[in-house]
Amino acid sequence: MIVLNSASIMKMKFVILGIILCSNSLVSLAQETRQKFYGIDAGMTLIAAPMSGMDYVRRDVPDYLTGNDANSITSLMYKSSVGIGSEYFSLNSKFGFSGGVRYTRNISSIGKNDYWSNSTSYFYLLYRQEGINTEYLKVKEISQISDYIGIPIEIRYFPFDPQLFRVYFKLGAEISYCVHYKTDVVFYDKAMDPFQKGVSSLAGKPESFSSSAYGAAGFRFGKESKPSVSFEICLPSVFLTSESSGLVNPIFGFGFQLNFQLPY
Amino acid sequence: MKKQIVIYSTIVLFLAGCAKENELKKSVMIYDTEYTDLPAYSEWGYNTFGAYYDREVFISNDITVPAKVIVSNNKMSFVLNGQKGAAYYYDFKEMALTFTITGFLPEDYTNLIVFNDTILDLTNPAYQVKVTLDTIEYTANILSGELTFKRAQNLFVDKRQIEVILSGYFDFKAKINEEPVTISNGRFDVGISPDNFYFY
Repeated sequence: MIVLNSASIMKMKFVILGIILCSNSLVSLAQETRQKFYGIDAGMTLIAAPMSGMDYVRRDVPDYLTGNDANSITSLMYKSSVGIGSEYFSLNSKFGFSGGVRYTRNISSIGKNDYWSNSTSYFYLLYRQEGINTEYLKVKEISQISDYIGIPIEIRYFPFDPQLFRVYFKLGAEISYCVHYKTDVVFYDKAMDPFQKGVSSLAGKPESFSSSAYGAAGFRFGKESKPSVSFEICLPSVFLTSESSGLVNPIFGFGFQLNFQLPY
Repeated sequence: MKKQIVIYSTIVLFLAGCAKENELKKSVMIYDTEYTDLPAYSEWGYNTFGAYYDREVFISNDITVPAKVIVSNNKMSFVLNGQKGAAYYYDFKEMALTFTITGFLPEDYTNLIVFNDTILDLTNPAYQVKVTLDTIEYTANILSGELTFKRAQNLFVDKRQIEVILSGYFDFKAKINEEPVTISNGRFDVGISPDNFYFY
């Protein structure tokens, strides 16, 4: 049989009271200050992306203006995205942690630069080599669309206290999976259209998985715990996987993003 | 009237078709990473060639037609026209190298395809090499050397044959104007079409 003296009883009362007070204060703090939002975002990024390979393209006449003979065939890539997600703020409302799902469409193309009058609007593509026979096709442009579903994880930092207009900085990373892609070829001679499929296979396919890291700076417009709109300029977006397009190698990009959020 | 339109359209299309492949006649110089004064070896029909003439450079340029095939007088000549002196020289001299093969008389440029994967021993009396320096022609007394047609290709563009691409190497030692000379690291990648194939 355990016998408690008055001192022990007092100690136990203090411990129990302490636990109750601490847990109560934690719960109340969490309920009072932590904000949660869900929302949608949309954006666009222009990407610097040189051609991923010249193996099937005949080089062009040297460009005397730049001294770079590869310059006359230009490559282009941009992506647009739309996503949904939720964001949790830290207790002091200075950090926002978000995640969600994002659909991204990458559009890349290679084509002949015909800015200069001495340049033709097509390039020669090595289509087939069989024994002593070699076949070129004259191509004006090859473009590729690839659709990705990705999971972005982002952290926003708000250097100033909550107010209607808040500047923030963001760091994020995204890993995505290619769900669909399509390659189109514009031939100089439309009679060559039956070779679409063959040329598309030469161009290659995008990688199944793509990952990128990015930073952004922007502003959030909206009162605390109220609907808000954010606009941000994406600082260099660095591609961690090189071939998210079969045609080009994306390196880095700049763009913008718009977010709309509702509290819950 | 309808007939005239058809004829006119045909002529326009024909002329347009001829003009389109002018791009293939131009030279595309991509320099070798090791022998930096010479074009890199290629098999695209870039219309370039280059070699060392002792320590000087014999190389194609954008002015003269880099290669011609001339079939005449019971022999065929494969002529490389360029300059003696690197591409950046202003005071270069015109230079040509002619490989002559007796007994082989192709009537059409497409017959050149037989050269695919062929090595010619230049010491064989059936072959002759001439060097032209500043319009003066010298017959090379070959001491040793080879002309290698590593690859000959029928080139089709949009399903029409345009030219035969001849790509390969050449190296030889010879006495030229009574002076021993070494032509080394020679490489060529030229397109032969009806425009630079001569049969007479």
